Order: sequence, then structure tokens, then C-alpha cells
Amino acid sequence: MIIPSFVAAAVLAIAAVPAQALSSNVIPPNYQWLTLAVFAAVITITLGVTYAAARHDQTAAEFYTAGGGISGVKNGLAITGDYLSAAAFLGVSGLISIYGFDGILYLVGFFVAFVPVLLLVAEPCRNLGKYTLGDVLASRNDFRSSKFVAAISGTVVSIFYLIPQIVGGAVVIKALVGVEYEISVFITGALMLVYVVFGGMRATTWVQIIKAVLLLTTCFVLVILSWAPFGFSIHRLFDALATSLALQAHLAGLPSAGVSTDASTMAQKFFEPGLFLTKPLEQLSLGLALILGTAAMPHILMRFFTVPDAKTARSSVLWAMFLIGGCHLLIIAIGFSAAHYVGALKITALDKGGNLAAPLLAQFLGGGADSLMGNFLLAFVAAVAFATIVAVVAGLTLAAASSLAHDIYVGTIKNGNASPKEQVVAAKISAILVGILSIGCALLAKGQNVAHLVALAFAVAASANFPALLLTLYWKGCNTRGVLAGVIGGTLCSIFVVMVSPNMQYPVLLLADAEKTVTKTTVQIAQFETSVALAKTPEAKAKLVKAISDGKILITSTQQRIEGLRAGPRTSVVGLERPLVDLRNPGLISVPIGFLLVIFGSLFGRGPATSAVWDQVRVRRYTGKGRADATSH
Amino acid sequence: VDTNNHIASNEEFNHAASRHFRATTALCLAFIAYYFALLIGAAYFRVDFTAQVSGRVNVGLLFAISQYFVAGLVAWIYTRIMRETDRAMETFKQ
Repeated sequence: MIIPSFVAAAVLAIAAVPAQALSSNVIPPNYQWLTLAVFAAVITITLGVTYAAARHDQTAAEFYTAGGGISGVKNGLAITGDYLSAAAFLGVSGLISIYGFDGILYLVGFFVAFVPVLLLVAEPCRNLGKYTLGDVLASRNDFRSSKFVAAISGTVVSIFYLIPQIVGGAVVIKALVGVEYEISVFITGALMLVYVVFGGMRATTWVQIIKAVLLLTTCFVLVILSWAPFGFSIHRLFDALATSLALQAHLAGLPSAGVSTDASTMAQKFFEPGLFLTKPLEQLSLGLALILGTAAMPHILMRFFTVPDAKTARSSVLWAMFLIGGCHLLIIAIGFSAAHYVGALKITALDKGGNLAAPLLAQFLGGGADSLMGNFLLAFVAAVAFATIVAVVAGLTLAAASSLAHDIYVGTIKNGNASPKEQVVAAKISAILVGILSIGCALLAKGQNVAHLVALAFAVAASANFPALLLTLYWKGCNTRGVLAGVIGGTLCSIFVVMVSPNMQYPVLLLADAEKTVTKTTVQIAQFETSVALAKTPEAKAKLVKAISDGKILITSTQQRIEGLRAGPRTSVVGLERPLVDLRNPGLISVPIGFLLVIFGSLFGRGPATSAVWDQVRVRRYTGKGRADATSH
Repeated sequence: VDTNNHIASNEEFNHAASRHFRATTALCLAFIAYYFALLIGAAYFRVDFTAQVSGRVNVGLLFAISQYFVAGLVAWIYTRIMRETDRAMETFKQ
């Protein structure tokens, strides 16, 4: 979640910072024991609930839906835990502390997405499906083929979303606690596998609930501590922030802030749009992918099969909206507090993406870097961030495993005829496969920018899964051919657009940038060298000498990069010198294509007698009648 | 399963179903428009968005934060719609 472009935002901040760029972690060595103690406590509790969950009957319904009897409040908390990622908590509070208003604009999309979930998707899915999106599509389309395509796109979405979570998580944990990248990936991966394989949906739900409670409590405490000195007055905090010299110095260094005649006008820009999100089309494209994609994310959909009826599905989304909305508002408040107490300059000095804003704020509020309380709060925030990561990845692993085992193995290969025992074994093996695959990819991705995978995950969900799901639920004319065309076409189209987008690396452009850096720095050094002779004080002279040597180091390292780029291929992985599409998020292109493919596919492939099937779907959507009882398996 | 086809031809069911469909679709589209108004406003109506309302709080900030409360309002309206739909569908669930 870093480059001033937009889709990349949240994940670039977490994922794109190469681990080696972070010189040291923020917890002093003499307080490491405290961090380890808090981490151990959180891990012990989650393993305890996994142990308790593992003692339940081992059935497919238990594994995928925890028996289908979860209450609205619990499921709402679990959705909150499933959905709120480290990108939202650490990444966005950091974005707000650096860019102010634009951080809020970015965050809002992740919340408003729950309106379509509530209004269009949650209850009908509960009434039509059993464990997966594939079940819902198969309720009126061809059983094997619709399950197969739904499983492919569902797995793609889950794994594309899973990898950046693990990679970003490991980078942040390294920055916070100093645990090596590889160890962090292994611990995260091992924990998510233990929760999912031994405890299934029941343990995953509890891990998500614990995480949601911890995260909400932490955010609440941070806001209380940081806003109390201002009497909880927005005006007083904003005024204090706007008059701080640190903020003005930070804004003066941001090219997007431009120039202003006086300090007060300059500071006001922090509360206005334009510092971070500078491409309107990119914002619309991401907004579209978020607001439609969330309603078709497999790990979110899966939560609606864990409740006894449609009314509980509804109340769980209402709870989730209340809790996620509340948490977002707290995160916004934390962002502004961090800008005031810690300052954007200090935050970006430690991590360019701003991911350490909330932890640094906690340390400050507890009494600073040398205090026990400050380091306890910091350790606590780090542990909560870790719990946040494992809860999200466990939900995603379970969703991917359900696609592979329930839709592909049991549905497509066995045509629905698998013994209860076979189903559970298939589910566990799939979870292990997904786990190993994601751990492997996360290890390979060390130091890589994987932000485009998040863009891709939401885009595939919005352009492949969502049109097929929505039209299956609400359009009489929808049929198997339309669903197949939409899901396959939407997935391929999203991947294609990302492959030709600025997300990929273009050696020619990188080379041009690097050469520009060398020219610019050379000119600067020449200027500094002439001013050294004129420098009046020894301090000013030392500063200039330092700037000259820094510039020379930069030139040497850039020239090495240029040589590397000249030796390598001239084009991106798909053979392009520059991007074909200037969008990091493909939503604006791929979502309309996904809808058109379902519509035209259905019109040209109209099968016989859809009317009786449509009546079944319509009645079941409202009443849940005829839905296979999940607990009977 | 036969009963489902029977229900599908029931006038009361169809009336309730289409009423529900129209209301939720309209509500959803209206809210999506409200969200996109924020994105478009932040990009193309900077002058209006930066107008200060009270102290340093400006129109843009209020509009952005209002998304949370408008979504809450939408959720509340939806529960009202569903109260009607639930009542109408109750007879068909037996």
C-alpha cells in the first residue's frame, strides 16, 4: 500500500517496502521480551479456541459452516475480523497521517461496499447456497460446469488476495518486532493452517471474533488517549495540527501540495483532496471494483452460509457494518492524531508508506520510546496487527479450500457424490495445498511489489464473480452459457488488463527515470559545490558536504541500476515497452465487459424451459424453501 | 419443490417480490450514486469541496464522513423494507 498512484495505495504501503530498506525495528531491544509475551498470549488464546473447536464432529458442514448455527452478533464480529485487514488498520491510518483527506477517501470505499452486500447478496445467498459461490450459481445453472468456473475464479481471488496479506504482514512484523521475513511468513502460514485444518470454520470464526474485539478495543483506546487532551474537539485538534511546524515542513516537501502564500493556507491542504490520489479515473476504477467486488469476495460470501437463516444473515451484515464503520471512523481519528503527535516526517522516515503511524502513536501515548507503558502499548498494537493478519488469511484459506474441495472435487469431479468422510478429507487436503502454495509464493515474493495482486483480486471478484452472481439471482434470462462466458471472460479480462497496466515493470521507463535522476543529481551536486565555498558557518558547510556525498552515493547506486536494466530485457513480461492502459485497477474496463459477457452469453445460449427453474430460484431466494439443509450432511 | 412452482404463480407472492425488488434496487443505485458523487467531487469539484464550513472542517470532509451515516440510513431503510417483505413471505415459508 506508496507510489502516488492509487490502487496501489493500501497495499503498497504495506507490501512494497522492501524488507531490507527498514534498518531497525521500532521496539528497543530491552523491551523485546514484552513484545514476545504479548504475541505469545494472543497466539495461545487462538490455539486454545482451535483445540476446543477440533473436538466437535468432523463433518463437511462443521468444517465449512461451523454447523450453520452462528448468531447474528457473532457472525457480524467474524465478518469484521475477516474483512478488516492490516492494510486498513496500519496502512490507512498511515496514509491519513501523511496525506490527510485523501486517506479518508481511500478508506470509505472499503466500507460503502457493504451496502450492496446487505441489499443484494447476503440473504439470497444464504437461501440459495450451501457452502460456496459455486452452490449459488449451480442452483439454476448447469451443476458441474458452473461449479467448476466459480471454483477457478474463487480460488484465483482468494489466493491473489492471500499472498499480499502474508507478504505485507511479514514486512510490517519485521519493521515492528524485528522478526525475519521468512520466519514471519512461516509462523503466519503455520498458524493459519493449524486454525483451518484442525478447527475449520468454528476455529476460524473464533479467531476472527477475537481479532475484531482486540482491534476495536485498541483503536478505541488510542482515540480516547489521543483526543482527550483536546476535549474530543475536532476543531482544537485540527487547529493544533494545522499550526504545527512539522506539518508545514512536511507539506512543503510534498510536490502534490504545490506552493502557497501563507502557512495557514498550506496547512489547510492537509484537509483537502489532492495530496495523494491524483488520478480521478483511477479512483473511479478502484471505487467500482471495491463497491461491487466485495459482494463477491469468497471469504465474505462464505460467512453467510454459517448462519441458520436469511434474517440472521441480514443482522450479521448490519452488525458488521456498524462495527466496520465504527472501526473506520476510529482509524481516521488515529490517522490525524498520529499526524499531530508523531508527525508525518518522523513516520515517513521510518517507513515510506506510513505503516508505522499507529504503532508509533501508541508508543508516544504510553510515554515514549523509553517507557514501559509506551513499549507495552506498542507491543500490544503489533500483536493486534499480527492477529489481524492471521484472521484474514485464515478466512481466505478456508474460502479457497472450499472452492477446491467442495466445488471442484466433490462437485465437478465426483458430481456431488462423495461420502461425508471423503468430503472432510478433501477439504483438509485442499487447505494444506492452499497454505503451502501461498507460503511458497510469499517466500518467492520477498522484496517484490505485490500490490497489483490486491487490485487483481478485487477486479476479478467484481468483473467475474459479481456479474454472474447478480444476474443469476435477479435476471430471468441468465443461463449457464452466460455464467460461463462472464466468469471465464471476466477473469481473463482482469488479468489481461493488469498485465498491460502500469503495475508491471517497464525497463525502458525505469531506465529513463534512472537517467533523469542521475542528470538531476549531478546538477544539484554542482550547485552545492559552488555554494560550499560561499558557506558562512561551519554547520552550513558540513550540511552541504554531507548533501554532496549523499548525492554521489545516489549516483553510484543509480548507475549500477542502469547497468542492470541495460543488461536485462527491454520490455515487460508480456513484451511491452510501455503500458497499454493507464489504470492500475482494471475495474472500469473489466466490470462492464464481465456484465456484457453474461448478458450476451445468455442471449445467444438460451436453453429450453428456463421459466420453471427461474420460479424455483425466485421462491427460494425469498423463502429459503428447497435449500439443502447444511446440517444434514 | 412442486410447492415452489405453485407459490411462484401466487399473486400475493409476486406482488411482494416485485415491490421488494424495486425498492432495494432503487435504494442500492441511489447509494452507489452517492458514493461516486464523493469520488467525482473530490476530483472535479475541488473548489466546492474545499469550502470551509466550520473552522478547518470543509465540505469534502463532511461529505466523506457522511458516507458512513448515509450507509447507516440506507441499512435502516432496508430493514423497514424487509419488515414488509418478511411479513408477506411468512405465509409462504410454511
